[in-house]
Amino acid sequence: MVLAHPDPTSLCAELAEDVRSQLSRRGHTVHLIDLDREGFDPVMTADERVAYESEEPILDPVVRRHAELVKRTDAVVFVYPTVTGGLPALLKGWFERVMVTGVAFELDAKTNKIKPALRNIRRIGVITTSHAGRMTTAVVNDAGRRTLHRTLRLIAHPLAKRTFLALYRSDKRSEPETNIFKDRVHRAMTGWT
Amino acid sequence: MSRHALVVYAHPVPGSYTSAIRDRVCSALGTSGCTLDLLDLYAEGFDPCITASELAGEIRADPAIDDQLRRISAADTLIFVHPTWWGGQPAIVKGWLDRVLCQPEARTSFRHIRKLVVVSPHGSGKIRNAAQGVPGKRITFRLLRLRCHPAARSAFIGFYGNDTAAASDRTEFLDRVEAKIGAITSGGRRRRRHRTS
Repeated sequence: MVLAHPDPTSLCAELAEDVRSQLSRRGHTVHLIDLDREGFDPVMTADERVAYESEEPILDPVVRRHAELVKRTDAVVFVYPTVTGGLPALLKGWFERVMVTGVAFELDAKTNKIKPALRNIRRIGVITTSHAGRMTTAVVNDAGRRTLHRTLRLIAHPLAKRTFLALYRSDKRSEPETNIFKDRVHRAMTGWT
Repeated sequence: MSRHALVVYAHPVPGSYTSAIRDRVCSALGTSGCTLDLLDLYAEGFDPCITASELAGEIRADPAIDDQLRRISAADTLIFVHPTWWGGQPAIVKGWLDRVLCQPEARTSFRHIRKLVVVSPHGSGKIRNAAQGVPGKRITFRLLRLRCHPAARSAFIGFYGNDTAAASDRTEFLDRVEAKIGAITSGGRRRRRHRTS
């Protein structure tokens, strides 16, 4: 599980905690990566960019730990606020630094083209809160959903199942409405076996 | 009419292919008589992480963002030069958009942008990018375009398959970038929007 929200008291953080406890109660081993609390730096450095082309693309021990978790997992859940129509930079940068050659994909030696390498991932869950409405998000093409449900899906298991749960206009929602969404997330996770 | 361009550039490695593109963009702007403000996000050490208070829409405390908004307001041409990673802008560019666009003033800061251009090399081919749903391109040409002048011209100049490209293709693309930027910024008649190549 990857959480990317700067506020530990946010709805995102609460939902992540609920999902984490629910999945572990059901006997799953769950690792929750809280990018903000870990102080994760989403900016790829010059050394990393140079190493990206080499056999050893990972330099940072934090990134290596995350990459090891990703390679062994069979499900991923992302919890984040939708900002500027997509993933917040913190999470976007996590993909750029962690999902590199040897983790997310291999390069074909002959053609130098991408070969998917995350066939172990059979479930992709996305939980997001968005200030924008559903229509606005659809008009600007929902980059977050595209990144996770298409770009990531292309390298995951071909039959990977996808779950997408979004609370739109989250800043304007009343408490009962928010509770309904919390319930929805809770129920959706009971289907994960 | 003299123009003022803000070039938002991001690549960590000096001397990269993207930096060569940046140089050609700048020289094309010089030729067409544009004044130029180069915003090198890596060199300026921009922090792309949106803060909890910015996300909640509260008053900001970071003078760095004021500075960015001033630079945007001064420009009538906005050009992005960055690689496409994971289907979209690198985190540092996405974070720049996140933190600038969430400000209340940003509703009007982009209003006098009349030319919106993205120049971006992609590692993989066009088909893979299409399958990914080109999230980065959509963010710029839908979300950001809506904030610009209603009659703004926008153009996407993409170089696909950089991982497998021959050196001659790369050189040719640089020439094309220079010619296109020149054509766009030196005025002339309005062309079809979203010219993709």
